[in-house]
Amino acid sequence: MLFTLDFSSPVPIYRQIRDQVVLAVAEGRLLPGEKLPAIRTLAEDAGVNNMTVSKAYQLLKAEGYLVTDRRNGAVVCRPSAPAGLDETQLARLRMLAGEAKLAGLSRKEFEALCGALYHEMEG
Amino acid sequence: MMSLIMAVCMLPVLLMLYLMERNEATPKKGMILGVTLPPEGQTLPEVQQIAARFQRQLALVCLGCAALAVPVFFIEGEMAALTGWMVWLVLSICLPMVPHILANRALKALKKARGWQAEGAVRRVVDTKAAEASLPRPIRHRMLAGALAVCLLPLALLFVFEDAAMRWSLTILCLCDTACLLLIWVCGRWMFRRRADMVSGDTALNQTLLRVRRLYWDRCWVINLWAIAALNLLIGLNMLWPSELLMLVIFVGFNFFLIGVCLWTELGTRRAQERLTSGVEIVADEDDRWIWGLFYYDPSDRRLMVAKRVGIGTTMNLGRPLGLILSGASALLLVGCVFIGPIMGWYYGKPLGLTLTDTALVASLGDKEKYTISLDEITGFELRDTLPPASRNFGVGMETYLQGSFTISGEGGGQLNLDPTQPPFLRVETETGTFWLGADTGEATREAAAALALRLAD
Repeated sequence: MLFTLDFSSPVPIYRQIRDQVVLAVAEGRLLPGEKLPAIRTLAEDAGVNNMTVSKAYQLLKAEGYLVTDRRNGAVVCRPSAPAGLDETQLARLRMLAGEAKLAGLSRKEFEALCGALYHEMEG
Repeated sequence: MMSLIMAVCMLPVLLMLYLMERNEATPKKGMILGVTLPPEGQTLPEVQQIAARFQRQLALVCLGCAALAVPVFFIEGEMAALTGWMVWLVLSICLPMVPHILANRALKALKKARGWQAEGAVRRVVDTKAAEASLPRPIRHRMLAGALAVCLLPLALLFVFEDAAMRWSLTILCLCDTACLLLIWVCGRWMFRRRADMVSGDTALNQTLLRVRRLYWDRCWVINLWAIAALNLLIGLNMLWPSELLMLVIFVGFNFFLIGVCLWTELGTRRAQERLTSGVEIVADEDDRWIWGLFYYDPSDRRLMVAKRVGIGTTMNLGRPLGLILSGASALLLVGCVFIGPIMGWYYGKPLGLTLTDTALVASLGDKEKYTISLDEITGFELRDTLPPASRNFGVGMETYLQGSFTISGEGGGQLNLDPTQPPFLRVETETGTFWLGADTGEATREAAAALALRLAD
């Protein structure tokens, strides 16, 4: 998997790692059962602090995208019981819809864009 | 003689630098002279022009450096010649960078003008699977143990040598070279684990590139390890059967061998990188973080050492305070080479002393006592007008000052503290060994010998 970390972005690095793993799982680039690199390895390869990667992995684990154990390390998984979007995700979607509106997108254009992106996830 | 040795050892360094710099103009990993360009950009006439101009300028600079070696070769005086060669070495390392910097700036400007510049973002791309097919860490324990065994083999000569000074020289030599081997082992293994190669979205390509780099890295360090072990063995054997000429051949050969290994591993890696990445779309553009394409500067990167983008080398991250300090220290060390000659000239140019105290004969250099021989231990002494051929085992061997442990033709081991251009020399025999000593002038040596004769007669 390719991680592209943008150090000039206001989005924290741990969040960028988390987002890219989630996106890769959704797009099928990362399959359930696949291993992610060890915290130290990824931190060294990316030139970031171990804590940054650890924080991203903890977040992914809490959200159910990752399971970790001593023998296998960090392994990708899909959340066991998809229960729709939670409050935080809904808030982010609402914010995005608002930003799209302010950017001049019509409702249809926004729906078409969302549809196309969702289609990409389905491969 | 010294100028000849320096010329033989240093001119190949210039050739090596020229070949490696010239190779920078060939596209590798999407880069020409440290500037990442799209595949269509690499064949543009403007880019080709800049590369051709760089090669012309580089050839001129290197030829100029080679020409500069001619007057340096004829500098009179050992220390002045040494200083001349060191200045030449520093210039030969620094000057070829100038055409590189000029070409790098021109290419960066062209890249910006053409709109190929990555958007101002500081991005780092990591392929998490690039290291999956990699090789194990280099220099395994068994390999180190073998090299150490060869390196320490000369210690067996401790049972052969009876002279204490020879035994000390041999022990110190073996310990120093053992330390070198351990340093190579630690560095080779520590620096091996660096960021995986990241060039394109094709993981198989990234894996192959990393595998090639690590393969040559392993070869380079293993060969260095065995070369030093073999050198130590040869030096040890040379102490048993001394030959100044053979020693010279061994050292010059070792120098050539290491330069050859460096060229082979570096250019071998670059050749593979060139073939593997020809026409590949590069996704990792790090040009903004490489000053003139030579020095890495990224304060957001926590790593102290990073892999160079082409070849097998590593470099310091100047964006980290420790990296800056270590790089500054390395630069100072390089420039400091220029002062080796004057410092040695000042230190070893001090007057030689040969004085008698109540109980001992003291041979000194300036204020520093080199040998203190108890009068009770002296079994005989004589003045000699000539110094037999002597090969140095350990110590100083200059045109005007010899000090340390030497193997003297027809005598075996002995300790020297004299100026070979100022006969006569006082040869002192003791229960523990032989000493060849001299004062600052021949007259002073004769006076010291006369005083010693009187004292021993009492």
